[in-house]
Amino acid sequence: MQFLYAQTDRCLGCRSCEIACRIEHSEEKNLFSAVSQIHPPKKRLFVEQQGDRKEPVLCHHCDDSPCMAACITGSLYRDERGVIRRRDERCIGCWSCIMACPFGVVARDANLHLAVKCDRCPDREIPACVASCPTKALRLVDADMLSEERRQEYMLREEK
Amino acid sequence: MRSDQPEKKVIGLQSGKELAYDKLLLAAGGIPIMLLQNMVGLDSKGVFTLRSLDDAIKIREYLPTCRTAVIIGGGLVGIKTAEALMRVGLAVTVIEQQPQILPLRADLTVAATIAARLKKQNITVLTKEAVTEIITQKGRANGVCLASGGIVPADLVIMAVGVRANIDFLSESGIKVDHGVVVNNRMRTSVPDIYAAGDLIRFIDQATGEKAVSGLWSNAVHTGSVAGCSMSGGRSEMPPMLSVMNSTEIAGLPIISAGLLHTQSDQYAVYTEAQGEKYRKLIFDQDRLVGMIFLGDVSRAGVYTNLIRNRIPLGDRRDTVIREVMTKIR
Repeated sequence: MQFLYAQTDRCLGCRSCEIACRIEHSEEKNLFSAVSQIHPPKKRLFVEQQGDRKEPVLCHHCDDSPCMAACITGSLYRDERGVIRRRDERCIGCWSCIMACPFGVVARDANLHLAVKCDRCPDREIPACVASCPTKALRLVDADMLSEERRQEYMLREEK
Repeated sequence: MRSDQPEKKVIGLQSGKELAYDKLLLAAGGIPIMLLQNMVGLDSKGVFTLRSLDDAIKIREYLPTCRTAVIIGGGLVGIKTAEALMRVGLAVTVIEQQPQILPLRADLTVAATIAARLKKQNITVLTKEAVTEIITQKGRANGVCLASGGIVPADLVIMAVGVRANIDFLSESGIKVDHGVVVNNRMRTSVPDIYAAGDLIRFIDQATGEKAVSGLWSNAVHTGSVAGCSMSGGRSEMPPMLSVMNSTEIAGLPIISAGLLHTQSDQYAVYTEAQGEKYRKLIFDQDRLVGMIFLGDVSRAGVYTNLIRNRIPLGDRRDTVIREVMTKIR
């Protein structure tokens, strides 16, 4: 299982990920389209800042997914990658998912009357936000790989 | 269901058949309340409740003969139905007994904003008003009498005064009920091997600390999953529950509310912020968030419903929460 991992001490708060997210979800998948199409796409992750700390807040595609449990029409589902996605034709814009998400990362697209959330870029191997991150604060990682990385970090710290 | 032989583990069906069980789940849901059971005209053609797809289809089939509609009850079901009937061209009147519409889901400010939007769409909203009688002609509804004396024409009458737990069939079962089926935190009823989940259970509301029965989808999903787990021998516990946690969009305005919405006591601190029609309200009990209403801008609402549901003590982060909510209305 792969997931998006944000290493917060590397985040500059430059919002490249937010722009890349909008571009990827625009009609023509370019910056011009993202800003000029009639209903500009909503971003699906949010760079937040508290004091000096910056961090992209993003969908965790939770195991116990509260958004999916709250979805009254069965629009939200988990795809073969483990990613929680939306069936457009079933979303009625009741915003129950927004009410349920403890991370606040489901947004309301008032123009399309659809709930908008991270779909982890189904057309790409590497999600647009990850590809755009200049400091590699955002990475697509394998759970096992991350544990190994953490073990090595721990050993190096012990050596010092 | 009968209690005479609980050790037999058998239930009787309406058809007369009997079914044996090892474990039994009660998930019979909620049923619409028929206010004033003896009200004149209640059994005439053109009077409906709306709870299931079948109900909706029946109403749609009846529509071609209708030009006017009265909705009895200004709750979520009533208001959403009013909008839908307005869209297909009916002249709609909503009648609510309380001084405001959405009495359980909104405060006075939000109710007034939404009522104004509904009026703009030519939906008539009457509050502090009640229906005393349904007027019929040849067995079909064609109007209602108001407590205040007037008459409102209505080819269609929708009863939308709320739902209650569907528990009448348990009256002889020996299962403990109190407005809803009483369960422990693993969804067991008072009778061994019988479990209950969904809209028919009684639970403790985290925000008010009081016993509650409430037909909320997410509560049903969670309690159903806990019951399934318990019945198959697993360990799982009922999550914290709220009886008010609703989200919808009315007349183009999204609204999310949760927890305690009406406060009289000084025990609670209330914060509000308005920007045109957009409105946000937070209610605190010391450093715990216990209630919220977001109207117009519902972004990040889930962060706060979860603070309420899990009774998170915020300590000195309380002011940050207030600032975040109030300054970020978009």
